[in-house]
Amino acid sequence: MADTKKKTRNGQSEFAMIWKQLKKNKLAMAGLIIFLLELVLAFLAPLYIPYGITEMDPVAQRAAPSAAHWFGTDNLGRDIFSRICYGGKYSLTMGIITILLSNGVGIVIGAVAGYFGGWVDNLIMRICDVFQSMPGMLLNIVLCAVLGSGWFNTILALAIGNVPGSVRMLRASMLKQRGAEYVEACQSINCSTPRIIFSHLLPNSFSPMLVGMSMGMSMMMTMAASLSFIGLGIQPPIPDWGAMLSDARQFIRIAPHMIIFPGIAIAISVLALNLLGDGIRDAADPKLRR
Amino acid sequence: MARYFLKRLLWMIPIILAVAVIVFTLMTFCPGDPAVIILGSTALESDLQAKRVELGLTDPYFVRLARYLSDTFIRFDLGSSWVTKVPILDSIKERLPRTIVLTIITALISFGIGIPLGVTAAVHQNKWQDHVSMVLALLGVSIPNFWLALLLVLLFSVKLKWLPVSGVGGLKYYILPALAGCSGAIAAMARQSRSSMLDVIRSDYITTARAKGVPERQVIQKHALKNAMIPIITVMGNQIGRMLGGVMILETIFSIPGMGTLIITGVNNRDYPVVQTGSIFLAIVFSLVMLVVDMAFAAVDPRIKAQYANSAKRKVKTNG
Amino acid sequence: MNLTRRDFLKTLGIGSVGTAAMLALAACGGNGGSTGTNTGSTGSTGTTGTTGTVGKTADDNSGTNITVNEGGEEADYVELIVGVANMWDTPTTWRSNIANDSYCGRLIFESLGQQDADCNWVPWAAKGWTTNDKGFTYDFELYDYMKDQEGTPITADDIVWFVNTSIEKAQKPNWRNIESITATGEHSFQVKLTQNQVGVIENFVFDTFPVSRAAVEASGDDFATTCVSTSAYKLVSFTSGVEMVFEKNPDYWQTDLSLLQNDVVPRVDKVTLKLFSEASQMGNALEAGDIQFAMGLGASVAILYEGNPDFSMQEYTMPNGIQLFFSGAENMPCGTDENLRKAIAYCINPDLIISSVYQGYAGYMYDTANEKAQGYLQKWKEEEYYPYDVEKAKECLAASNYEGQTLIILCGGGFKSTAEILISAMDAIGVKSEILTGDMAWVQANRLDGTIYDMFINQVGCVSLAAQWSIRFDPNGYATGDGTSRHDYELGELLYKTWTQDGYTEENIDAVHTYIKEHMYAYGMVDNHVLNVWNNNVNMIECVNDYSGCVRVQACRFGK
Repeated sequence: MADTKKKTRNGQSEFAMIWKQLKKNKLAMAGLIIFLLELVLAFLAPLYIPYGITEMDPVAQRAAPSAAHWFGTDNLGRDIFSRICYGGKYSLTMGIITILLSNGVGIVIGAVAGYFGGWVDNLIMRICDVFQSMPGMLLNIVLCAVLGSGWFNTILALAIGNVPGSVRMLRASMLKQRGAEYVEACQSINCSTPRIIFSHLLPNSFSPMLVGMSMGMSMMMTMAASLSFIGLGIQPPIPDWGAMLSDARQFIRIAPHMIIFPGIAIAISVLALNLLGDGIRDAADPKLRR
Repeated sequence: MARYFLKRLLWMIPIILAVAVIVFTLMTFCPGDPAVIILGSTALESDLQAKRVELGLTDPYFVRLARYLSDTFIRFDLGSSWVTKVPILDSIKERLPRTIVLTIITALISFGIGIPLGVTAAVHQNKWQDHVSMVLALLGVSIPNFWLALLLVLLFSVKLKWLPVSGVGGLKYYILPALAGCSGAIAAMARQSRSSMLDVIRSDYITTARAKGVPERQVIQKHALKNAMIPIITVMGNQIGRMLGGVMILETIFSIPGMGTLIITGVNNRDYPVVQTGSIFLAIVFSLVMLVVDMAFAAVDPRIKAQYANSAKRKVKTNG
Repeated sequence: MNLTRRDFLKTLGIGSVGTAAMLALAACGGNGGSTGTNTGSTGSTGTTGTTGTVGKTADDNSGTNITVNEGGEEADYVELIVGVANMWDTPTTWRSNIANDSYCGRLIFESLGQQDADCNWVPWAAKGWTTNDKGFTYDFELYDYMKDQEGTPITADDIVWFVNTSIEKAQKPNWRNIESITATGEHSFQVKLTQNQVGVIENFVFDTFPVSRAAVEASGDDFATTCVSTSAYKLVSFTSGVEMVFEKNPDYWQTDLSLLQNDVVPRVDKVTLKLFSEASQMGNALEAGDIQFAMGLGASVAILYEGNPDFSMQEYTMPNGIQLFFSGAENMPCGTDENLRKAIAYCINPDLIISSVYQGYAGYMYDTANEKAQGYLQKWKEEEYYPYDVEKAKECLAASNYEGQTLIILCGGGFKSTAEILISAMDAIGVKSEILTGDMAWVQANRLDGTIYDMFINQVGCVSLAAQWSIRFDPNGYATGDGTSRHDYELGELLYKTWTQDGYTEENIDAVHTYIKEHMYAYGMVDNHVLNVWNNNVNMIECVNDYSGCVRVQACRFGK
């Protein structure tokens, strides 16, 4: 009985509570709507974009924005608006997939560390220490070189680099829960260890994790763009925004629109994710709950 | 306190060793052949093979790892770059200060602007100052550094001709990279300062101070700010850490010969010794920054200070 | 050392991704052919003999527009800041992957010889050389008063030591066909070659830097951080990857400047080279006034200065081009299918690449080499070389065995736009393709494996056509097969005929050209041009160019 009660209160209701708070936050909702809208637009892009993403117009190279080409064209005469819309599929999902991957792995490792404590915890945390004693960008650059270029390889590089952070975050919140009474109660009725971890501790550590994930997403997006910009990461013909910026750099003076629009696209998405992340953080903060 | 500091310092040794092992291992799995880079793409296979043997690339992984670790950590011989032949210690002596200077300038600008911005916002909560600061902060955290860098160069170097485009020289060469690198940190600092100031301002002792008739200016500067600093310092530490990474990208954009360009060129050239040693030094700097932040944290937070004192006392007691 | 034929082949020339290591070594023009249309540059004094510029091959709107203030009064002290597109991170003599013929290289070291205005190889630091057996043995003589910047005399022993050490370190692959080098006197030495191939001795004289053995050994790091050479300019300060400051050496050993070619005469007192890795950065620095000269400015930035009266612009070609090499691996669709390769060659529109990737600063090609390669025949320009023709491409495709496979295009970072144009061009005739790329080291390591790609976009240049072709197409040259090499013995026989000085005839050269063209083993896409731009506030009163038509800043005269 105690089992089910805890589950509902700490599982679904936790999410419901955050959601309820979040809905009141106009800025956060704006962020969420912008981001979702971007995602929908990106995935529906093939239906509405005026030009193919590799369609080259030899007479309109580096053309400034106009009625025919809203965001202008690039050096190969491709429509930048179409490319940005289509490229969103890669750039926007990058942050999400990276965070889901790294947190998925982080959850398992962090849960193990947090639950068992002792030497297991110690070992895992020391390994995390090692990874976290390098600047994240350094680790990502080296990982990118090892894994090679490409969309998924870049995600993998970013995700691996992000695992120690999510492990640490999850463990911290698990530690708080470990001493809680309900855990003792579960142990006393002979719940299995994995069951305690996954059906009790995890749901209860849900909200700090959610905050970390929503904040991490925007960071991963910027990092991915930075890596593409210095020539690591995503390669053409994928119209990733960071890669578009990297290619456009040499045209910065003759065709500034080539660099402005992808930059704005990144900035808006990161802004939306930040608004959402702030909102989730506030919503999850018990101090701010009324 | 000193004991804790020493302990942390000693703990850095195994951490750095482990960093060395990780970077070494990663570079080992890096596709690409250093011999081809050194001798050129038209080198003879026999020469390439001789080069590989000379560099020890043909030895088993553990042999190479052991040799590398003993060279670096026992004999303190950092070796020379495979490609440029420049002794790595010389490169680092020349480049590390630049990276540190750039990071410090970026940090100073971010803290110098970010904290006052956040405090102002908190003091004038929900007034226009608050809204302007927070909009600026949101924008700052959303604009990618490298993109901002390009636009800043266009404005301040190409159009206004105030600042140099790239390279190193005097302090003025660091201004644009620092400006580009600080936007995110300013925003983070402002947001953190605002929220921790708000926490403090709402607390009882501030109300008491005000009730006692302490001037508002003094309330903020003397009482509130000091207590709000604790969480701010944590964010400062995180930001400095992130800056060290961000500086690597900015160095490439502004052609600053620092650790970032050294390591990125090293990665591109598969110049293993340069990447390995460079990473170790960056990791040392990074860990030291984190240590200093923790110490500063302890210094401002009386609770943590007390904790150390207690544990020390307890130890003395048990020993006695 | 026992040289196998394969080893020999590899020594013939150099092509590399990104670095045009051997550009300097190419001679101008072909066997008696002219080097394109020589148009005098506006306002040049003409006294230097090298003020001409090689016109574009594709179109006539030559970008060259140089302002020279003729008859201006020469300044007493001239100090210049020059931006260059090389990333020099060490002045060491022992490295292979950097262009020796760059501004940096030419200021750091002297060579034994160089090319004069008419592209003939003439002495520079050496007094001279002769051969009596059709290029198998060369006798060199040095000036007996040659000394380095510290006053140490340079003797034949120093040269012999330098050459042998370079060979030992395997840093100069093109020296592999030097059989031996021996000092025959204090200031004379003899070089024996294993093959009297055109271009070998030219390689040698250009890549040999007179340095004192004692000075190199005293430096402790092979000049990795400092350098003592015989150059008229001293490297006084060096910030790796950022800046090199040169000052004229007041005690320059060559006191009789009339013995020097005009383009290596030291006139400017101080030259600061700023190094840039990226085009827009150098353009920004030029605009901001951080630099006065921008050498090798990217077309995307240089186009801003076209017709700008405040700036001078110089356009010229180097002996290379952008080529598409097809894999020679038998399991790849392109490896065995001649019609597929022809279809691809026909579907490429060079005009599109010229306008969108090179902003118009590029020309057509008629071979994998351009006209600056030694042996190039002007008549090829009159022949048909796979003009852009979609219908013909489709015809060839229909005749091929293509079954809808996705073809792989390998390319380095600099050719991504070109590769994207290729993808869309092939798409237009119904051939699917994708890009395979990575960082420089990855591409370098993988280009030799022809089984992982169908075609490879590269920029290569060589001393001579024999070298350009042999390095890729000799059937005995490669055991596993460079991705682009072929086991075609018929082509091999044609190639071998061009390997001796006697066999390097128009007829033999033409036979190889035609064979490669007809079997479409490789396609020369476009001939990209090099652009120099400088601010007219430098007040140039005499512009001095080198053999290729590139301004040599330190030799120019400047007014007050």
